[in-house]
Amino acid sequence: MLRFLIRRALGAFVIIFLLVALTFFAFHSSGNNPAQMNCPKGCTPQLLAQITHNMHLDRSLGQQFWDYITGLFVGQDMGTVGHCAAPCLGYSYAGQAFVWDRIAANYPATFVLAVGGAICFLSIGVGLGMISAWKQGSLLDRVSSSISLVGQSTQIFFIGPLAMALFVYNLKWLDRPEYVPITQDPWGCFMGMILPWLVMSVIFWSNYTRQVRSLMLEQLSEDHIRAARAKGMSNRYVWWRYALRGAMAPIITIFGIDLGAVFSGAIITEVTFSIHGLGFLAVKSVNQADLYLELGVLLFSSAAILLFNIIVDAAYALLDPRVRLG
Amino acid sequence: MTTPTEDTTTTEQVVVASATGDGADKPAALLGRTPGQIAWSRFKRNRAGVFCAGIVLLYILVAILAPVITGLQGQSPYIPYGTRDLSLLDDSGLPIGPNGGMSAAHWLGLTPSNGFDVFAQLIYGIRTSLGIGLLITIFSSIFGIVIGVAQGYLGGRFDYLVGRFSDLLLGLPTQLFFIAFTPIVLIWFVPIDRETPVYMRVIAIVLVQTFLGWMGTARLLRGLSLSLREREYVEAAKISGASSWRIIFKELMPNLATTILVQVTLMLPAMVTAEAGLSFLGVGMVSPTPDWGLMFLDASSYYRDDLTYLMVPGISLMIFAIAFNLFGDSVRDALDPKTIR
Repeated sequence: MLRFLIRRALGAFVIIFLLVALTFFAFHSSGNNPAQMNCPKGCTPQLLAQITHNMHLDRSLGQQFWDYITGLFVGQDMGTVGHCAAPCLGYSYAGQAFVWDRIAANYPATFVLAVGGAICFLSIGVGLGMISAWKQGSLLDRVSSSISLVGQSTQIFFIGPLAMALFVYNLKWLDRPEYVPITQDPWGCFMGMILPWLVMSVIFWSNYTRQVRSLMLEQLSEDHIRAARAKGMSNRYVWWRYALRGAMAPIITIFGIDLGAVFSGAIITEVTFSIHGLGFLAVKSVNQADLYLELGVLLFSSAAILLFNIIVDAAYALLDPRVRLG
Repeated sequence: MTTPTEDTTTTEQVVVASATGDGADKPAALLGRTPGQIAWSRFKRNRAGVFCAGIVLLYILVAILAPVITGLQGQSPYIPYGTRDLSLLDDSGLPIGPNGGMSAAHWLGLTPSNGFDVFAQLIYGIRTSLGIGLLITIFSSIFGIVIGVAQGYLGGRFDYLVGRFSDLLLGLPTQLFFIAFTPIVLIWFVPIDRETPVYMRVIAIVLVQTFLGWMGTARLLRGLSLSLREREYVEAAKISGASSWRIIFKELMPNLATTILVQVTLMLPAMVTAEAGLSFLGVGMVSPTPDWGLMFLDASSYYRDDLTYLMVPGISLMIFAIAFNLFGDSVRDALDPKTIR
């Protein structure tokens, strides 16, 4: 296990390095002067020169890349802006703050959105799938299949505003969704995020419903299930301890991929509900042509995805003894 | 789900013929059917699939015939009717009349603030989004096919390197990558101080989405061609001196065709919605180009007062996606009865 983790971690480092290289050179190849783009209105030549110096644009591209890489581990000095501490992702001129600080300020919202959303789509998706498998061919089964088909075919930027119009403005059950720090007001946080959680989960859960249904049906027709039943085990015990356990492994794989997706920033959900998370930050940085912020968000999200891939593979091996890590 | 009945159709004929062979000198002729014919007859029997195919066809026709349809309606998606005729919008810029200003002239109402014709915008928006989605699907599929088959057929170091590269791309946050790179690619082509022509935007979107769109197809085809490569008929072709090209195009490709077709039908709706999503986030197409995603962007700032404007693109996109997904499923069932959904 340890060997596996170390190897995967090293692999992730290589991927991150390649990614930094790819994005860094792509972003700097645009032919525009980043200092000019980052210079606020009423830009004076002195200010421009200062920004150029602070951003290290007066150095060669290779040197800049080296600065960026070393900055990730030991930080770097950025002239008048001050010292950028260890995981240094550069300075965002548009936001007048270090990129790392901006990401750290926005990440809690993404994190809460991701955790709540994941709980929603996993429980709803698996639940509906189990019901479908339990009452196979019944009306309930057909209804849940249709719901998941519609869910699969819908878009957050459609049902999001629709749900807001209904629950917030028409029925007035909820306030306008917003992120309240969970440490400040847990209940307010829950009430503010419940709509984004549910809306976000719609596009994810359908996949689980379909998979769980077919996997459970497949499992229930296996010989060992029949043997367990023949032994006189209760239906419920067989269902939960034998069939579900066997069906869980592929579900965990999908769940890991989806977790990576939501933790790296559910952009459309965040923009639809104006939750100031990572995805929102990304869109803002693109619109403001804030190069270092874009780069930082992209790196941070990729690292999140890689981390989840490793966790999922490890969990997979722990849960399914047939899987050998190699 | 209709699998068990499929193969009996041909055999039944023989059984019936031999059973009733009471003196008749020739039994019923055995009909040879190509795999395509079998798939087609299987597809025809799936009524939901045929219905969805009709809807899909309708959308494609709408996209192709957009100028004709709006011409018949007599409206253009580019004219802000509200600013020309002040009686159409009220003081706060909302359309006057029921359901977002629906009338005989403006069938689905007008957009708030500018008063564009919603119907014309929708028709042209479908054209834009479907067109771009189709381009992305075509290019991603081509790349996926070429790379996947090459990986599977050549194997070795090439397979390893390309495999690692596609792993790298699969590890990227897709949507973030799109929104970060589309402006960058645009800047590569067009200097920042000059106006970006529409076709450049299309090219940039297609490029960026294709870059991250081919890996799924490539993986699938790599696995398939890896196993097909070891089959006897490929070996026979090799021994009889066939060139690699011949083996790939005459031996492997026909066996991959169904997988590719299924993959394409499932990829297209995903790409169309991805394009709409990009425009919604403000990095895809921009106004005044009519676009499905842009309609959502615009509508999402007025939905409190004018829900119709949101419903029009929303419902139409939903019907499109449902129809296309069901169509894709039925195509898969028809071509490959072994897959269990």
